[in-house]
Amino acid sequence: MSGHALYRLLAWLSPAYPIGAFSYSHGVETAVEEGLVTNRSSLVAWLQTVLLQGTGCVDGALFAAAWRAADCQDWIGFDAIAERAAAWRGTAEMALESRQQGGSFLSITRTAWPHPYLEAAHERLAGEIALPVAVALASAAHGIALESSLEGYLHAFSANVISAAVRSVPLGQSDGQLALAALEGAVARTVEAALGVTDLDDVGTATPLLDWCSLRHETQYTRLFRS
Amino acid sequence: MNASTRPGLQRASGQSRVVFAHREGRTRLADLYQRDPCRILFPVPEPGDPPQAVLVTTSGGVTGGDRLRMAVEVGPEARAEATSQAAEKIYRAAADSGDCIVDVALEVGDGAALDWLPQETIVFEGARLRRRTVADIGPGGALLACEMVVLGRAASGERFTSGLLLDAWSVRREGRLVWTDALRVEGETPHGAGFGAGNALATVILANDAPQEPLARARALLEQVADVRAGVTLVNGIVVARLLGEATRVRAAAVALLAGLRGRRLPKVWHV
Repeated sequence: MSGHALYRLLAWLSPAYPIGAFSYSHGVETAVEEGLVTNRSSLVAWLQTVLLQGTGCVDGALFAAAWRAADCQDWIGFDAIAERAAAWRGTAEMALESRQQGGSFLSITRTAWPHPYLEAAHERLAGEIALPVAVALASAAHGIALESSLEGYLHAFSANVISAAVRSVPLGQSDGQLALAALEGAVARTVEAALGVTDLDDVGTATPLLDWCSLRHETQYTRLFRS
Repeated sequence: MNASTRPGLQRASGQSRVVFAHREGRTRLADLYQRDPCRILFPVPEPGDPPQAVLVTTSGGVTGGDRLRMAVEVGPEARAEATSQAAEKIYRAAADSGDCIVDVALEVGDGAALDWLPQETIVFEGARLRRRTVADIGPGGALLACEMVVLGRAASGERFTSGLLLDAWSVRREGRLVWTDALRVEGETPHGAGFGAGNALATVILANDAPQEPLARARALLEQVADVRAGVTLVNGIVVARLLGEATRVRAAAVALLAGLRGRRLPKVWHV
């Protein structure tokens, strides 16, 4: 990776980047509560489907489409992808998770790594942007390659859900890292699939249990997380 | 004729369009177009109920290479409901036949109301279906819609292990895309966050100007449901409920939810 690309990508996708990622579990808190995720192997199986046939598949395809549109400065196309990404949320909490983090990401990145593309998108979209679209935009604007930024994005997404699971299930820190290591192949396959999408109309999910967990989370009695 | 052995030359290309309009104080049929195998029947509604369109696929089901286009339009201030005469069967696609394509367009005019309540779609083992439903809702318009899919003919012990189900939804309000979703099952349903032991999924959506009350009502109705994983949310102003489980139980729960949201029974065809 050339120039400052790696440095920036590591900064933006770090859990320390102030977008509030730690407060979202992406449904895994309920999956634990309901006994669908009970240990490391069921966590890995759960996340494999969330990546390859769920959110990872959809957000990966949206990320790639948004990056390419931004890279060739097709802002009409970019805004249509942004609209679609905002609408493509199964539940209120999934929408909050993506919109709040996306808005925060755009805001802090405009401050710390300003770029005319980010300013213009902020103006056009009034700060409303889904997280994968916001990260794709910043990556394209600052010349970070699509494949690296998408892999980084999906790694950060997986690591964040694992971190939420470690706090919910009685799972040790090393189990969390073993899960992350076990998901390396699934992340790589999700990246490959997203890069190969030529029409967003072909993309979809096969993870109704994930949606169900997110729906139940809204009325779950005790909650650590916002999703 | 058994559609799964129908020769390639006879691939169906059906179309239907029905338009309701509010005239002289009530909703009337304003336009109708139908081309086989798409047909529309108009049973006499119960007293006080809005006009009803019942969509029929005269071939008894669809298969690879078939293309169906259906449109239901409800003009300003009109009220109507549309359903299907029977469960839609998607037969196994022949090796070289391509996917079955179904496009559904729903238009709800200013201040109008449409209930779009087709019965379940049964996707046979080896079937390939791409269905896209697009709803456009004008200011003050209301839409209640349900889509239920069953993977494999469970009654005969069939599982869905190969084939494609791509079922996509988009809802626009006053031109703006507010909600979209796509179910994509290719071959076996996944473990992990997939379908669990379920073979059926129903999605109910409701869009109107006052969604809080139906959200609360749906939540209360779904609390009564047993043996189905069900939940409801309000996302981008649209009430979205999902029911996952065994097909007959999902159907019964969806019927109870829809009847509760409507404040009246489902169209008669659902009960025969």
